[in-house]
Amino acid sequence: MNHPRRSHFERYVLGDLDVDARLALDEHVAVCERCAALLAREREIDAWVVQTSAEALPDGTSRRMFDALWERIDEDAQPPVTTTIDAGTSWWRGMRRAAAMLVVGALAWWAVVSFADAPQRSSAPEVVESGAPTSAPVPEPPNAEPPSPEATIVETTPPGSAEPTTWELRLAAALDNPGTRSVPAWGGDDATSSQRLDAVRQRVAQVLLAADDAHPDDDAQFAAACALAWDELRPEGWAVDQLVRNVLLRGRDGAAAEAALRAVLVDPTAEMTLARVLDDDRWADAVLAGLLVHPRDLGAARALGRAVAQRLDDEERVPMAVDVLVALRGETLLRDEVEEIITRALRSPSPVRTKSALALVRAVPARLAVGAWIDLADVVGANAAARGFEGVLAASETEAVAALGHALSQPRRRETAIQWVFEQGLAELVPQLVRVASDRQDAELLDALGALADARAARPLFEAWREHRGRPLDGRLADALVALLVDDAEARSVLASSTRAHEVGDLIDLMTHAIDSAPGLDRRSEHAELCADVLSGVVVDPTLDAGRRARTLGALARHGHERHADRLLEALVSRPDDALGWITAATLAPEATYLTFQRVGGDVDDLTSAVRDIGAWPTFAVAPPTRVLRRIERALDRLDTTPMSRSKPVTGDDE
Amino acid sequence: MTDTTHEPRGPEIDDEEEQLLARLRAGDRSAFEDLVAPHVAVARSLAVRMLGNLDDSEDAVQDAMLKAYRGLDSFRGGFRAWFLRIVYHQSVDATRRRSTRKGHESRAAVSPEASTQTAGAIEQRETLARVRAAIDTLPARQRAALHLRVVEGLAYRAIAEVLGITPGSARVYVVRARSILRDRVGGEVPE
Repeated sequence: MNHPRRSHFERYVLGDLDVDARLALDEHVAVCERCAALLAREREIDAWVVQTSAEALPDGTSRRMFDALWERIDEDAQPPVTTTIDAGTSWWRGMRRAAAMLVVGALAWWAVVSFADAPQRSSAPEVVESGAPTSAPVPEPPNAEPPSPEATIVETTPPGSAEPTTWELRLAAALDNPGTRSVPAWGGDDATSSQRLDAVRQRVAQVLLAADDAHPDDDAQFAAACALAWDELRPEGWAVDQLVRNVLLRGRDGAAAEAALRAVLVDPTAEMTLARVLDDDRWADAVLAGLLVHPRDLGAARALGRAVAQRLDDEERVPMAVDVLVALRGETLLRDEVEEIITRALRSPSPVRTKSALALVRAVPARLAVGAWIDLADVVGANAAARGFEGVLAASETEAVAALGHALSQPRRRETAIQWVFEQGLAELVPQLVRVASDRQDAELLDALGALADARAARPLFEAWREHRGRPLDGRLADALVALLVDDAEARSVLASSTRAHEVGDLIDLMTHAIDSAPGLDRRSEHAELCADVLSGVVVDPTLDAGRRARTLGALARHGHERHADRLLEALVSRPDDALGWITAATLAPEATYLTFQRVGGDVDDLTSAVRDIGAWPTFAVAPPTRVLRRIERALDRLDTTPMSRSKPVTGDDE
Repeated sequence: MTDTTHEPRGPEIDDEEEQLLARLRAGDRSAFEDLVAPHVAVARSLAVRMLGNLDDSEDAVQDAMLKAYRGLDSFRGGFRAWFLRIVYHQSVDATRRRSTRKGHESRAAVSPEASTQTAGAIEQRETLARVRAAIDTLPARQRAALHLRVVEGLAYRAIAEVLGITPGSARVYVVRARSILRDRVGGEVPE
């Protein structure tokens, strides 16, 4: 067993491995000190977590808590279970009842629509309803065409009897005549199209085999036959079967091998044949040489790549195989194929596996290299792999970002990909990754970016959301960003401090979305508090223009976040002329504002008069001005009777 | 790879819980105790992890019990996940309410006096203090996911139900939390 990756040890201690994998790891660590140490370290982390958890529940704790619970319930005289939506008169109960009615209405509507739709669904074919496969082969009607003369010739040609000239003619005749493809005698009356094609292929194989047996030493003839088979079969998209390949691979020189392989490579299972050829040292060089002259043949090159990849399991052939793949530069390989090759290289017992894998990953295009670098991270080290990724990024940022997005959507690579994005200083890629996710309509990738982000991603996610407003999945991105802000105070602080003046409108919209989308009144209130955190961080920014700050302040005032006035007032102490700030502070926390305003030498009458005109401010139009004014008036009344209000005003210098 | 796919327990309500709920609806208070009691220890442990001290955590659990009692009509699925979700949110709310207060008051009460300890024990105590500090800086969901998995041994699906996330995200939260602890407290990893 090779040294497992560190994530393997983590899965072990977290109980995420199945029994077989656990036993295999147990056996390995019993004989490997390095891995035993790694496993011990992983266990130690869990031990820390356990040791820092609460001690066991002391006896009697539950009883005490239940007694206190019943006491509270009795005090509140709150009937249990059935009374949460009772005939109360408070406004929130009314709202709950309205919400419940809306839900019931929606359910009723859904039920009506469902019933209306039911006859249509029930009229659908039963096979679809039952989930039976719909792609089962459909038998073709029997073909009544009579056998052609050419088919009869081929069919009746006994093996070994064909002359060099006649078998070529017969082959050509058989392949040229479309009628041969539907000869009932070749597949039976009930044969499907594919069965008939198989029958044709087999018959061609027999003809070629006969030719080879008749002239075993005539390579020129054989190569010509191969070329003929190739030219005839390829336009039809037919593949030669195993028997034909065996015949072709009897070629005795490079030209024959090349011709044979050209024919072989149209077959989807060509790599099996190639594998056998490559195992034979006598032919390997010729085969590879023959293949490499056709690198632009996409199908051929893919088959070559897969075939060579199999050689990566063979220690002696690893360098050769990688040389071939590097020569091909992976340009004709699919991403999954390159990744499989890398995986095979890493699993190979060869001591040169890492070097070979690195050579390959450096040779392939950017779009293929990112996943490969992630796979190599545990072998070459996280930093080296990240540097490799940065090299890819420098070569082609667009392709690298797209490939990283692909890696993020793959569970097995997500962890490392996230680590690169957020821990290797690549957080600025988040907007591009969001673009990738949006373009692909990849909700899972968006969720991953949002759910796994930390404070460093707050700003990039916000930028990405601004860029994607109005595009598909923007709501999902907003939800992800809101989840991050709700979960992480540092993220809120980062966003508040980094929001620029021209972005405030979007920030307010996002905060409004956060509040409106919160499920239930409790969560809505919680979100409102958190949003106020962000917004109050923004409004103290002196560079913000008046209009945008007014909108921010208005948003704060609408949601009535009195306690956030403290922060605003702290900022206002040094800005006694900031009328808008003072007015807003007065709407948030009238009493504290007037006291502070007096302290900085302000005239309370001026502020009162300005506040009384609050309804004229468009920003506050949605706030209930009369309610605000009543609060202000009450505050002023209290202020008049407070000794402090008659004391000598102090200045901000006293702070 | 070889990830296990057979995670235990889904959100389904079991027969015993159904019977207890029926008794409760009939006015039997002891049924609520029978329903909640098996989960009090986990709830308190989670609350302590989230809040950092015993007093606040017991308040949070107490509030959660009251909320659960009054909100049983909205309860669906498995009781444990539902109750722990309430405890988690109560704890997070309490953390935010407490954010203006300074520090955690009763950390020291949990640990023995340093003067009575050997050098090894003091070193161990310092390590655990670093661990606590590192855990305290984790985002709430990561902290809760880590605790529920490592200390309480909950399946990712159960953790996901408590935190309102997907099981895949629950696992990533745990892994990221451990990664942060490894980086901040772990020191050099043996090669």
